[in-house]
Parts: sequence; C-alpha cells; structure tokens
Amino acid sequence: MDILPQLIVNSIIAGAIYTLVALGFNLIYGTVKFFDLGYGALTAVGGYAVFWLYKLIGVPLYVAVPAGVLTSALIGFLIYRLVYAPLRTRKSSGTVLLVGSLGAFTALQAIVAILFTSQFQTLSKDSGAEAVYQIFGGVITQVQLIMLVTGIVIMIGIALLLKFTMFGKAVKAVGDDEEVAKIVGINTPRVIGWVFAIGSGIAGLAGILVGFDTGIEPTMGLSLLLKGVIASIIGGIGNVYGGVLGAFLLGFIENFGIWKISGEWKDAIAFAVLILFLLFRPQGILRR
Amino acid sequence: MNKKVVWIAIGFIIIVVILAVANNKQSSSDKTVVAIIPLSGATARTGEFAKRGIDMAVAELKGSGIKVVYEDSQLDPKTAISEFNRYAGDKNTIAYLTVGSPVAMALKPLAQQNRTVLMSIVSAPAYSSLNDYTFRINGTAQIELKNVIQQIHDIGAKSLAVLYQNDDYGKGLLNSIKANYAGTIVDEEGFPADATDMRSQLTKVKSKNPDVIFIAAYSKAVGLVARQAKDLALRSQLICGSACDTPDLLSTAAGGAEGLLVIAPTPKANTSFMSAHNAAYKEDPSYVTTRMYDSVNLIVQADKVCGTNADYKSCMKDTIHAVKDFPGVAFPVNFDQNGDLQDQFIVKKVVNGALQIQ
Repeated sequence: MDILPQLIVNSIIAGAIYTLVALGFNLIYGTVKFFDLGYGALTAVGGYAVFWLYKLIGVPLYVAVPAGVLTSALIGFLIYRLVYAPLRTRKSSGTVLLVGSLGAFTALQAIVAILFTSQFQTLSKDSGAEAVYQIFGGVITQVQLIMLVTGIVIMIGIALLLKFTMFGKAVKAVGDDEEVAKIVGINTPRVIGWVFAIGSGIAGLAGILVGFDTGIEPTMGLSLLLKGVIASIIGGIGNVYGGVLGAFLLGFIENFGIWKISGEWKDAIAFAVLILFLLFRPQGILRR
Repeated sequence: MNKKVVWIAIGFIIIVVILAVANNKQSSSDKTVVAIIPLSGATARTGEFAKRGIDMAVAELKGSGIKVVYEDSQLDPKTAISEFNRYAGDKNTIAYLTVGSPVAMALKPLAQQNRTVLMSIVSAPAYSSLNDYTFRINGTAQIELKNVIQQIHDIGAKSLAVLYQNDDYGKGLLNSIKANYAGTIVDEEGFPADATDMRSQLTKVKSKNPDVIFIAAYSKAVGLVARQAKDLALRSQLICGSACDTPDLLSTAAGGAEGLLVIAPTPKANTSFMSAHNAAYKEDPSYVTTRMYDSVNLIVQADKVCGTNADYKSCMKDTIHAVKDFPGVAFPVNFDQNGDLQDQFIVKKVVNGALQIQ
C-alpha cells in the first residue's frame, strides 16, 4: 500500500495534462460541433516555438512561453480562416470538416518535422535543478505542479469568460444554434475565430508544459489529442467542467487500472473506458 | 474542358515515362548498394548515424565502380519492401543495407528470394539463420544479454526488475533475460514504444525495491525513464542495452541519467576514423556508424573477389560469410555460421553528465 500516495499523485499529474488538452478541445467542439484533429498538432507548435526561442535562440523563458502560446493561437486561427471557415460556408458535412482537420494535423506535423527534425527534444535545460515536492508520501515536480495549477486557473478563466462576459454569452449562443445567433446579430465568424485562437493557445500551452515535463516531438499531438478527446467524452463533450472531471477520472482509471497488471495495458484501459461510455453514457457524466 | 484534361493527362504520362527511362539509363552502368534506412520519423537519428558511416566509406570508394543510393524506410516495413522491390529487378544492385528490426525482418525473405546480400543493424533474434544472404552487423541479443547479466553479477545485485518497451526488441530482451538470469526478477513492466510517461510503471517497480532495473528500450525511452526515476527518488541501479547507446540519451535525460550503466557494442575505432568522424560531425561516432562503415567496405571487398564470378550473388554471400579477421575500424570482423557479427561489448557509465567507458 506504500505506493498508494504516489499512484494518487501520478493520477493527478496525468489528469492535469489531460485537463489542459480537454479544455481547449471542449471549447472549440462546444462552439463548432466538429472534431478538430488539427488541434492536436498545435500542442507541438507551441512546444517547438518555445524550443526555438528558449533553447536555440536564448530568449528568456518569460518571453518565450507567451510567444509560444501566441504562435499556437495565431496558427490555430489561420487554420480556421483558411481551411474550416470556407468549408463551413459551403455547408460541408462533419465528415468533410473532420477530413479537413486531419489534413491540417498531418500538414502541421510534417512542417514541424521538416523544420526541427523528428528528434525528441526536451525544453528543460537541466532537470537535475528542478524542485521536487513531497505531498503525503508522493512526489511531484515543480513543472507538474505548475501544470496542475495552470489547468485549474484556465478552467476557472474559461468558466468566468463564458458566464460573465458578452463574448462568453455569444460563444454559448453560437454553440447552441449558430443560425439563430446570426439572426440576433452576433458576428459568428468573428466569435468562432476567437474561439479557435483561444483554444489553440491553450493547446500550445499544454504542449509547452508537457515539453518541460517530458519532452516534445512532432508526433506528440495525436496521443495528447486522443486522451483529451477521451476525457471530454467521459466528462461530457462541450462542457468545460465535464472535460476537467473526465480528465482526472481518466488519470485515475489509467493509473489504478494497471496497479496489479502490466503497465502496457494503460492505453487499452483508457480506450476500453471510452467505449463503455460511448455505449452506455454517450452524453458523458455532465451534460453540456 | 474534357479534351483539355485528356491532353494534360497524356502530357503528364509522357513526362513521367521520359523521366523513368532517363533515370534508368543513368543508373545502368553503376553497381549499386541500396541503403534502406530511417531518414525520417522517430528513429531518424539512428538512420543519420548509419548514413554517416556509409558516407565516410563512400568517400573512399572512388574508382571502385560502386555507388550507394539512399531510400527512407521510415522504419516502416511496407515502405521498405516497396523500396527493395524498386531495385530488385536491377542487375546492378549488389547489396542492401538496413537498420531496425521491423524493416530487416520484412526484407529478410525478399533478400533470400532475390539472392542479394542484406546487411542489417537489427535486434530481433529471429533474424539469425544459417548460411543465408542476410548478415547481422551488430551483436546479437544473446551476446548483449550475457554482458548485461555479467554486469548485474559484478555489482552484486540480488534482485532485478525489467522495464521494457512493447516491441520485438524490448520483449525479446525481456524473454532472454527471464531465460538466462538466475537471480530474482521481482517485477516486469511494459510500456508502448512511443510512450513518454512511465511514472506508473516506475511507481510499481519502486515498491518492489529491486537492486537493479534493466531498461530494455531505445534511448529516448531510457532517457525519460532515468529522468522520471530520479524524480521519484528511485535508488535502484539503472542499466540499459545497446539500443540506448546514442548521443541523444543524455539530452533526453536532461541531467537525470547520472550513474546509468550502458552495455553497448564498442564504439571504439582506430585513430584515423575517430579524427575524421569528429572533424566532420563534431562528436564521437556511434557503433551504428562504425558497423555501417565496415559493412560497405566488406561489400566492396567481396565485389573485388566476385567481380567476374559466373554466380556473382552466391559468391558475394559466401565471401562475406568466410571473412576472417577483416580489418574493421573497431576490431577484426568475423561472422558466425548464422551471419551474426562477433561483436564486442563494453560498459559505459554516465558520470558528471557524460558517458564514460568503464
């Protein structure tokens, strides 16, 4: 039982990573109602932007990280304007949009690989200097703690944005019914553009923090995206709080699921849980 | 519009045919060694090391009548087979070089069928077979395991845990160590080959408190395991095998690999090779580089012997099988009856952030 505290901490760390991915994904899906696979590649974009600025050029971290987030936000916005917006104007089906997003994902991933090679990179310059904390017998690093706090802050920020600002109300209106939102005078393309920018910025931040915790590689986006999607579906797709709940639940299920069996079953357990929810509770734990 | 499309299509086909014929004509007079190695993807770094060795050998090949062409396998068997077949019909293709078990195992039957020498950096035990056209140019898992187990004994360890990546390499080493290690294996934990978070597995292993943790994985995973083990304050001695012996092990570990032991084929090379490599690439060579360099030279040497032989292909195979103390850059090269290199292993340790030979 002496591994129990560390298992709990590991679950929380995993939940924190999935939370960041799920938050942005849910924000976008909740507004435009299609699975944006391109979202996954934006985690790599953020990570590599910081890699280039911080490790290769030597820009201070307090400049590199915001710049990385802004880069992801900008590229996410551009993908929306250049790929998704024209397709949506033509009333393309969800399948077409999904395929378009897959194309965006593949293209972005390939560009990152060409620019930076496929080699695995770390963002931290020396993990030996990183602070490590003991929490009730479990160990958590400084980066992991930052990841956890950031996820909670962003969740609160998005919740407040959606509830108390005109922009947030417009986002919810577009998510509920885009046509009616247009009729009542909401500039839906602009709102959606901002949603993509904000969601993509969150994806970039997730990639940056994962880069400091483990590392970055051009193909990092797919596995993060899949876990974010599973978390969103479990928690309640389109629901900000649901995504967070699903993320931590997924973290706990994965880590406790392999307590007595081999660790290679982790992903199988995650996807088995996804299938169970799709079969028996497709709306997730919390409804939108 | 239809007529336009038809004419464009015809024009395109004509251009493609002209290019194909021209390309064929250009290559018709050169003997070709085809290097099907990962130049992109997750193992591109290993492919780069292989390419270095091949390039260095090629630079000395002027006048030999042999050239090397590169194809990117992406470590994907289907891609590699397609590239193999592209050259299989060309009578000037005299040998193939490759890296990585998935590709080597996929090309093995084709090389045998085509009666063309295939020299591979490969870890899969099943690659070895008696007196055929395929050669392993790195140490077998059996030789590597013997050295790993010896090292475990040397440090006085009584209990062992194994962390392995879930592929041919990792599982092959796991099964071998289970068959050959006489001590207690207290835990075995697997993870996907592309995993970046092994904390769950490490947490379970930590609870068993083994003296040694053997990590059967490539360098990226080993670096991450070392780093995460340090975060979790794991006190067990970490050991890894040849697949982790690449320069990016330390960059991935980012300071977390201190004390890690690496059992690897010797990267030592003669002074002139080391100087030439360091001048060109600003770092010491990987064993992948030295083995590939020797392989190209072996092929060139065999071609000199077999050049006018009526059964050229058989002669190439037999000549390479029969080499005795071929002057490699690291040590005299010999193959056993399965075409496996009699490799030499050394122990390295990470001391003050650098790998040092013990």
